[in-house]
Amino acid sequence: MMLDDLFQVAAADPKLDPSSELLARVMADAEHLQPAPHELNTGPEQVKLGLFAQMVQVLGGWRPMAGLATAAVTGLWIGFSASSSLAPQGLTGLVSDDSTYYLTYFDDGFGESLGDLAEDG
Amino acid sequence: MLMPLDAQVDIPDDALLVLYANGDQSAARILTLRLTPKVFGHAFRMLGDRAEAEDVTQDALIRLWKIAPEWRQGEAKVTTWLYRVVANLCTDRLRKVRGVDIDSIPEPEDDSTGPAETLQDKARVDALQAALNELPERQRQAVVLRHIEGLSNPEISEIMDIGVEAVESLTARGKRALTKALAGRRAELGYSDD
Repeated sequence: MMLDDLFQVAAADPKLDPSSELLARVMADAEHLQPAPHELNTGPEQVKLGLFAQMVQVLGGWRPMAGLATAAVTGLWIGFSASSSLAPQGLTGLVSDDSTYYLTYFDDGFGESLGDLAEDG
Repeated sequence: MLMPLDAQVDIPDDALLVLYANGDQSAARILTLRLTPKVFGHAFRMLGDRAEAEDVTQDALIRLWKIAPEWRQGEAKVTTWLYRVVANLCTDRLRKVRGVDIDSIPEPEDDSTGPAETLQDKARVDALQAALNELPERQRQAVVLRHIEGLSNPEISEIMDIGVEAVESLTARGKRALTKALAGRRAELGYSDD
């Protein structure tokens, strides 16, 4: 039948293959409008630690660090408050720049103060 | 993520479209090569003009690329959606043409002959296209989809948003009109009277 044959010829018509220019235009549009690829989720992000944070981590975390700091401050306080028996004007004199001390200052007093401490204890 | 071409041959269009939306460049290439000929062929048969059909093809596929991120796999057939878009774009263009003086527009000329196309085949294709161009738009669309693109009546009914019986009616009337239009050219096109 003529019409069916014409349909077959039309369906196989090579003239209706899209030109390479058209394919290039369509491909360029596809690439231009394509959403960017999703980033792969590789788990929680690794945070780079600073020097202080690394030190805290080495010492076992913030709790041991707090205990260590408290001990240091306490030691410093004891040192300054109880040092009058060790040096004239206590240790505060040592940190002032216009003071001069001689070992004779410690001569008798040093021994006595150690004795006092032993008796008190 | 890139997949080898042969791995994508059997992947349905909608799955490829999801891959495209996820940034797969090979999916973009496969979809372009797979869909462009269908869209262009249909647009050309509806419009009868190569340049216009190319513009419609590009436009329809741009719409597909844009809708890809929202495409819900398994809900609609990509080609059905595309044929519907092409039909709307062709209708718009045909209306514009009808709005201007039809005599002022030169007849589309397409003297190109494909490598495997004989002169007689070219004459036959041109005669059929000329007769198709004379059909009412809906008849032309139904006949082209059914008898040249080879789609099923239910699929055509979905594309044209009408019932299957209406599709059958359109194609039957279209075929009758084509037979009548081409009746006087049987001998010229190389067909005997029997």
